[in-house]
Amino acid sequence: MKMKNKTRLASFICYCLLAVCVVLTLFPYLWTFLAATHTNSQVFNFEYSFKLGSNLIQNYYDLLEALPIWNNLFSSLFVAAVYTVLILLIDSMAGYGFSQYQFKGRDTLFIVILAAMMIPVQVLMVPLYIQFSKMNMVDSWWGIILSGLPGAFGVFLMRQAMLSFPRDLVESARIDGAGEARNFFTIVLPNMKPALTSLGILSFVNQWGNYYVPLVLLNTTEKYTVPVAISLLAQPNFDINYGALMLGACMAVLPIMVFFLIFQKNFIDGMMAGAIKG
Amino acid sequence: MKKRMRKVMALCLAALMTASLAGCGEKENTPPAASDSSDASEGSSAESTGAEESANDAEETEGTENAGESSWDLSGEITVTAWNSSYTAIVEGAKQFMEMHPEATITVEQVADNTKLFTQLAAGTGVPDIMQFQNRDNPTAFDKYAGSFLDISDLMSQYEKDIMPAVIPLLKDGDTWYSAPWDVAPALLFYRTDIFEECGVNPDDIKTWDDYIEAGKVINEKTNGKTKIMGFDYNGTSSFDMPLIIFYEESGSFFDENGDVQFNSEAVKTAFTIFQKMVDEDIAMNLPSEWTDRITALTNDNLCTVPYGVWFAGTLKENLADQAGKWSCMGLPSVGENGNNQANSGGSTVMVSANTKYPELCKGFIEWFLLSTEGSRINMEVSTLFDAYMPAYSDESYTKVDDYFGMSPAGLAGELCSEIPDLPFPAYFTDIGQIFQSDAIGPYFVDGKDMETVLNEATEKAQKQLEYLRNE
Amino acid sequence: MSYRLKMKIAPWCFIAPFFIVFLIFAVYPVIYSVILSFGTYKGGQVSLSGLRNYSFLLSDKSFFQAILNTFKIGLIQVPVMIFLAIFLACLMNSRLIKGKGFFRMAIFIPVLIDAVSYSVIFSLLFNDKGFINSMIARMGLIPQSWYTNAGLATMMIVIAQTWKWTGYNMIIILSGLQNIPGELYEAAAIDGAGRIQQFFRITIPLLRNMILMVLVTSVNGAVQMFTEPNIITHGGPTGSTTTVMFYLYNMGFKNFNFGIACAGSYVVVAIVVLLTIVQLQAGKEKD
Repeated sequence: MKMKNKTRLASFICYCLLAVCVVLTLFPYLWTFLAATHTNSQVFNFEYSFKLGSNLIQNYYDLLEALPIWNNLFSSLFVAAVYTVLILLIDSMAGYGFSQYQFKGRDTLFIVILAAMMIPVQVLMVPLYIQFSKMNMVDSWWGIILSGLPGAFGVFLMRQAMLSFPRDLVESARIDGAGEARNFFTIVLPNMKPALTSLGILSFVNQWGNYYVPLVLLNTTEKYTVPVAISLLAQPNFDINYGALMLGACMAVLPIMVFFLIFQKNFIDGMMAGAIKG
Repeated sequence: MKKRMRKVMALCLAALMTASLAGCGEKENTPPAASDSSDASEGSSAESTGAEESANDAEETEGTENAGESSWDLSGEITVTAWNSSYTAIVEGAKQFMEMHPEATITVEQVADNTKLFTQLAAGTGVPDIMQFQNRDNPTAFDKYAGSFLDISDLMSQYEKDIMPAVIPLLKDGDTWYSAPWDVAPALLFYRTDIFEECGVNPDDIKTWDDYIEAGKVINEKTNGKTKIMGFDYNGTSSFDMPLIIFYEESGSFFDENGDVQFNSEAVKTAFTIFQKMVDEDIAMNLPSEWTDRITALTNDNLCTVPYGVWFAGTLKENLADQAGKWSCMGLPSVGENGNNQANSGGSTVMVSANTKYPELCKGFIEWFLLSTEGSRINMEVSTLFDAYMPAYSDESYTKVDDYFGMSPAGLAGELCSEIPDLPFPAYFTDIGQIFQSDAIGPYFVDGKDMETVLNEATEKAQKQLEYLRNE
Repeated sequence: MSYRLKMKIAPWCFIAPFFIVFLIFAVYPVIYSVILSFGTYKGGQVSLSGLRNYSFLLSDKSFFQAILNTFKIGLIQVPVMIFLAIFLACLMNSRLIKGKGFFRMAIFIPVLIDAVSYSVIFSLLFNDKGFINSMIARMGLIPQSWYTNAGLATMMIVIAQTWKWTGYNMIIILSGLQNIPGELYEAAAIDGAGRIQQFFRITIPLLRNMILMVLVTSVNGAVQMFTEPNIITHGGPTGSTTTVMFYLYNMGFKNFNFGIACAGSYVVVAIVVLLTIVQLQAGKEKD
């Protein structure tokens, strides 16, 4: 009985602590959602901070007038989805190459790839722009997708996950005469689902939030990804429609929230798979 | 020998062309409009340039023959970039222009700032045909990206007398015009008539900044400290537009006559002293993120005046629609009795890419959109942009009473722009200005350091950077 | 094909797609920017100018100030965030809590918001007359001027950064926690180890790799911090929140000094590599 009470108290405290954290993390979101229903001046009026406004529909029309927001959402979705698929493919292959084979210069190469991760992309933008314009990929989603592919994080994650994959399985398949590619796709990859999921989610989320590269590479408003489009709404020193801006922010966040809600369980599993040999 | 060959070839080509043109006429059977016909023949003469260099001359002479309505060949496709409300205006302008000139195709792209443009200019590729610039960036851009912009002297020199004089130095590099002015921003004092009335302050009594401070004290007292007369970023990092208003009035510059950095000038000291007095008298409020914080303060009646460029009228109407009828504006206060009360705060220009395929279309569009009353009317009516093109100032779109203000801010600005001192933005103003923001304004207003020391230290640092930038 | 040859070629085939992309879209731009870091860009031409960019940076007080600021923010922010992340992950892993999915989601979502809205929200919340100050006033304390006090402005950056990234790190640590077999705790409990002892004897050591990973990425993130100072404090007051990336961004993209920006970036990369090596060594020593 006493034990039970103690547990209850402990769980009560845990809930309280979590509740505080949740309030802190969700409050700015709540504020944003409410602001999306406010008129421009209500956004700045603290009396309205916790009140539902009545300007949502007007804000929606204003937003549509300022931005082709649905096109922008599609762009973001397309870029993030294609990017994620490609990342999963090439990073898992590279991870396999780095983890399951011995070859000369392997570790040096791996370190070089990791070190490149630390160079800020802004510095690389001018040469990248020259490249993409030669390849006719300015104002194209492919430029954004390709420029994100050399990131080392995925290779690192997949390598970690594959290090723990039992080599005997691969070896016995080899003895049975299976080719290397077949080994990879039929034996190794299906076992990497958790790691692939977590890499997929991280890649998707990162690409969804990518601001700088699409800003420089894209020209057409319809092709803009959501963060770039939103930044058009908030140009400094001009007339900003804050209600519409906040509505845009909500619309930008909702799809990715849904995406995360669907995959979050697998996400944790995936991170665990990556963590085994950390 | 060669020349003769060319002549023969040209003759043959000409004969061929008249034949084919006649054929075309027969088929289509519709006589083209006057301007179109000249374009058609120009187009065909342009075709012959492929084989004949001398055809170039023919094209040019034909161009000048048609001078009058439009002296430019307006056929082609160009891309224009612009931001925010300028974008809205130029979209409308491009639409109307294309209706008048179906042979022209103008694509307008919206940008958030010039980050992309600077990358394109640095990469030397992808640069739009016409690009918008902050006017204060012009001389720096001429220097950094020399060779990237088209010489448009032939267009601009015709309009020199029509452009607001203060902005002209920013459009030229030496004697060559590389830029056309878009909007300019004569500064006005926007004020809340209702708050002034409640506190018994008569706006007509505010002639100098001292009067302004006195009015501020009265308002502060009457509202129990709720409403301040001035708001600005004490840090200077999000914006330094407010103190600079006085600096502009006083013909200030960050550079001395040798082109060296000189923050420790009378204009800066005057501006700092007046603003410090406002802080000391508790009639100013800090707006660390100046733009959003100002709107917040205005919404909540914490701030009752804003001295800013005329474009701020549009901001008030857009962001504070429910304060309609409570605002008015007047000329700026001056530093001393009968001092200069004209200044410019903001504005933009356009430049044409040196690589454009259709320079004539670019110039023709600029001429119509930025250097005619018709174009200026679009800018004013669509986006409240106050153009540098002065003949437009008497147009009804500028002078008609705006119900929000009960008067016409643009009309007033049109009267208060002839004496604006030349805009003091030589090359590297942005670099040097940034050091002024972080190393002069903040240390003085926030840390309360000694003015002379602060200004001298900042000067020293900026001078070092300037020397580096100039490759000295 | 002999087995040995096959084993020699195969890894390269697997690495090839990544490696080709890496060569084209990473190695080439890096080489270009390294060259640019030794040159000056003017009038569409890059002219080599030796170590001029580096010597300018090393003699520029603002650059050192920016590095110092970055360290100041990082030294407070990274430990606070990692501590919070571990704490929350433990709570989340506890059997006492139900509805974990909801809490996980709620704490993770700050990662998802876009930078522009995030900045507008935070600058309004910390406004002199904003929500935070009115709460402080309601609690009977003195409202603070967050933007004019260097210490408070730094705190504000720390708070914003922590708000945005704690959930991300919590999830990574949580995945490590869930990997620890429950039997270990049961065995420890039988041995009479209390909760706190269990935490330090089992949890922390077994989480070492996870914590190390979070530490390395967070330090990297702190060094490259740009968005928060850019949009919330604009580097102020008096440059106290100007981080090194913010400084370099201004150099490169506001003032078009690409050479300096490139040079500065490589100084930063050197610092990050150094820090990473130190952290990895420190992590190894305990083996």
